[in-house]
Amino acid sequence: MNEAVIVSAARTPVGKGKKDGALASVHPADLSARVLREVVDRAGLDPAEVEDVLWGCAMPEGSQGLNVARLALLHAGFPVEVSGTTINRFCSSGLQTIAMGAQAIMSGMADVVVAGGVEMMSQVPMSGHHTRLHPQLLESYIGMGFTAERVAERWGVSREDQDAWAIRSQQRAARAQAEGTFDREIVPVTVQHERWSGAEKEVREVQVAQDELVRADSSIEKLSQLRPAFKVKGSGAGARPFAWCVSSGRRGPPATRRTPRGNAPPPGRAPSPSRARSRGSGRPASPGRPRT
Amino acid sequence: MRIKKVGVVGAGVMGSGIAALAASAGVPVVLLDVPGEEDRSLPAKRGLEKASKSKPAAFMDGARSALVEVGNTEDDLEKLSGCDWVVEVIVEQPAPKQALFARLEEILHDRAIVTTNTSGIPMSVLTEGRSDSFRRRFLGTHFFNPPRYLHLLEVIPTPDTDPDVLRTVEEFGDRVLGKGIVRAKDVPGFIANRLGVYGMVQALRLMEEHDLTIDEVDALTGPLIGRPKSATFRTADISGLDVLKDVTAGLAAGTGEDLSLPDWVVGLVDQGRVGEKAGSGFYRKEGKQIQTLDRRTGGYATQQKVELPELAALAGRPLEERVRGALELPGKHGAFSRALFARTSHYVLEHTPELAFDIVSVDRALERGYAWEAGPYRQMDALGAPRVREILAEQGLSEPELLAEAGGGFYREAAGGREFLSFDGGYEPVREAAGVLSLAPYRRGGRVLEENAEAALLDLGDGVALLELRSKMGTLGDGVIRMLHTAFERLEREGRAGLVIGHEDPRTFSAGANLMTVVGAVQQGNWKALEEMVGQFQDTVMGLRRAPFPVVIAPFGLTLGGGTEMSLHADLVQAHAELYMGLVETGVGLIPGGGGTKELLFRFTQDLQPYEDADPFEAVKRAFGVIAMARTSTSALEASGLGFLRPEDRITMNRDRLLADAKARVLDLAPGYTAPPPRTITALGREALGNLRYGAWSLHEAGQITEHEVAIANELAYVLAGGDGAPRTVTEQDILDLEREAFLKLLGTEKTQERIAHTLKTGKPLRN
Repeated sequence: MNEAVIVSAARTPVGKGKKDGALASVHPADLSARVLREVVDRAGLDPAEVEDVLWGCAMPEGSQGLNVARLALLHAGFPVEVSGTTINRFCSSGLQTIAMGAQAIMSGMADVVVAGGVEMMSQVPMSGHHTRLHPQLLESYIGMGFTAERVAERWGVSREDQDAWAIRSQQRAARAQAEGTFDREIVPVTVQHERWSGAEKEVREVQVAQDELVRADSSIEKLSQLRPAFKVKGSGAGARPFAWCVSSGRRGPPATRRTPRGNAPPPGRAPSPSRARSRGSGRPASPGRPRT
Repeated sequence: MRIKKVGVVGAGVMGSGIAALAASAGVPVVLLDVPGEEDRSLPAKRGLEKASKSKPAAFMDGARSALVEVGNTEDDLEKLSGCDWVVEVIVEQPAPKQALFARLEEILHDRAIVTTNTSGIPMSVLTEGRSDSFRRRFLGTHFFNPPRYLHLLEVIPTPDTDPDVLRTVEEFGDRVLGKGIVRAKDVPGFIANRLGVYGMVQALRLMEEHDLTIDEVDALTGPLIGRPKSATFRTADISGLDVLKDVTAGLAAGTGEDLSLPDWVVGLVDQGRVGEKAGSGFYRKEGKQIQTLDRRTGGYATQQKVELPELAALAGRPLEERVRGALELPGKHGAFSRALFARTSHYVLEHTPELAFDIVSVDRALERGYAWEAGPYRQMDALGAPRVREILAEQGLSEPELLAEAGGGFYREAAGGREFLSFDGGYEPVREAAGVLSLAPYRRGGRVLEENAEAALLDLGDGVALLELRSKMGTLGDGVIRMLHTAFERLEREGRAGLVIGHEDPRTFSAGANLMTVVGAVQQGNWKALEEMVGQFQDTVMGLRRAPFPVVIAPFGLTLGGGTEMSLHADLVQAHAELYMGLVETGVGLIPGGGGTKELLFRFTQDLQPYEDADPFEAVKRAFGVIAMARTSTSALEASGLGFLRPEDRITMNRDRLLADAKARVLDLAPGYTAPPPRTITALGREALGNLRYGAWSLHEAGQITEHEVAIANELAYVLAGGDGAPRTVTEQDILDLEREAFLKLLGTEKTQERIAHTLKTGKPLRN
């Protein structure tokens, strides 16, 4: 069996999902193309060498609908011979593509695969448009917030624990951002910010190079004042900004390829799909899978 | 001239309230206040913000605040140059007002009208130094706080005011702002405050003389004598004791009269116990309990209901009997009532010619400004002049000239309608503003076409009939239903132009179906009768649509459940701007079973039909949200937002004009009228059911609704989905059948029956 290694990785910054988010109005194909191009350039690859682009998306409809993987790679200037497929495993869609890319390489079905994903919550709402839920499967549609409440209850995770976790996460993110830890992985995105005055459009190009929504000024006191976000008497409130933070941006694609033929050491091992799955221990007691 | 843009200078509670009212009416407003330090327009912005957040709401629709442009009086006065009417509501001192008017004269266009909201400074002082042209376009406009909710607008012309200018302001205040206009003379306090405040000061003094408690005074000066429930002391708490102190001081200074407040009242103001806004005044709230001040100790004790058999016997009697009865109460209570009646009546009689142009204005000012059931002259008429003379004499008061002239009463019925006693001793006809339709004359003679205990059919002339609801709270019982069917039959047979549905109650259009009747049938287990009852209600509302003549409904105030369902089925709604409309059936464990569920579903679905790719579920979801959450509007504009009113439905700002406007709509629609054709839509079946049930499931998971509420929501979902099959074409009757079945099914549950019983007993919903 071949060994799969990650030879290049990049992501765009994570933007706010609200209308004033720096990336909110960018088409997901644009954002995707920007990282696809970057990730092959960084590895010194010719896009023609890429055999498949696996692109994760939790709500593959609206602007991220049809086959957004294929659209993005064409937009990135990859030759038409490169194929693309959109993969949905909700929140772990991006992760899933890396596992699948690794599987393709390990089984000898591909040499070079680009894996990653995109999610624009500013454009496609959670659970998408035009939903038609099955009247008999209600509990299977349980949302992430309610799932978290059930998990917290089952494992005795208190509101205080959650707030403390959230604060630690915010503080770490803030420190990492301040120290430039993310700079290497982030691909700055040039965004056109428009201002209209009658029929006149004024365009300003803005470089977005940092994640939004990192709240360095957050505190336990402030978090503890937030009302529970999901249940009237629930515990999950502090978690809320993080849920949005993670899902409202987009995850960048690591390029996966077989052990390089040259002398360069492999930059990282691709995660095994079984491990990735085993981490999803926060499964609810419901018959369904958590909706993320 | 048409007033297209309004300027308001002064963004205090009153100024921003006037701005909010004008903007609610759809008129752009410029709102200015003094400059702030850093943000120069901060004071005006703050005023607007407070108005946006005030409770009860100053805006009829929050989005209308976008019509208000803010600024400050130093940098932005120019903004007023485009205004056709500028109302001054700044600090109550002559010099700043005069300075403002001097600057306005330079900036405003030469037809712009300027008015002042002063409550005491003589107009002649305010226009000192102004040109003749300015004086012709100047007058007083005295609003009451809060301007949206208090009906009275006193208009005070000066001797220089151009009659056209006066008419323009009155017309705008009446039609656009919806106020009840009363012309007053330029004297301190004008009519309403001058008389109202005098009465309050006398009540305070007399309670000491007669050794009464606050609870006793409020029991004697409230609904008993046709005043609001807030009576004397609660009213003072609401408006603020500090305001009362300032107003009495101002009036005393202006009139030279002794209006000093008792020491214990002044003491409260000094201690900051100025009423509701301070948390305590004459009353205070401890948790849910209301406590009353003991004026001797300054402490509070639990409110004491005044237990007098004579009082209990008067409750619910006609005003005439209540007023008479109050004066005949035994002991100190009767003595207090007689003394108060004598002093205030004497004052009114003596001062009317000085304050008002006629006695009608006095009655209207107190009815509209202080919400009296009947003004002082109507009350004196109810007692009869001889009895009034007697009481005045008993109290050692002289007989005022007006009373001496009132041999046949202050009002009398004449061939041409009602007449009033004029100052010269003759009688003149009582004139309603043109386009105001009041029902009293139509309840007489041959104009009553049909009548039963709950409703009447009146001939409004021009071929238009009115179905007048007469039941308590406008409930829709058997009598109303029968009257509607009689109306359908009779109007068609007689070839009349059309029907108006409405009435004149001040607060409630309809509280909906008569739950007592429903409970009675449930208790007897008479399900067949219940099914017939619901079916008949459905047929009746559908009859409004099917009738071969136009039906225009004129709802106002509280309009719930079946009242809303009737409105939804009329050809056109002519709504009063103050419309508190909702389908609140889920509160008593039911769903709207009289066509309300069907109508919202059809209406919202049809709205989406022209859009090829619109998700039809959005329509179902909207109806589900409005009904399941029992959404109730706080204005007619909000009712439009909720979907209860359609774009073609109309809003009347002035309640006094509602019935006349509705009648006019019937006459608009009547020529060539054809009934709206039957409709079909595609019901989504299972496709919608899962989405809606998930909505209910997740609200329950979130701990927001009870299990029974999930059951109610699921019944509602079933109706709105048109059942649990594949998508299918449905008629109105198909959905009505599902509605009826769901209604009866829920009615059969214990929890729903508990809800109904609880609501009937307490007037509040039960969440079980």
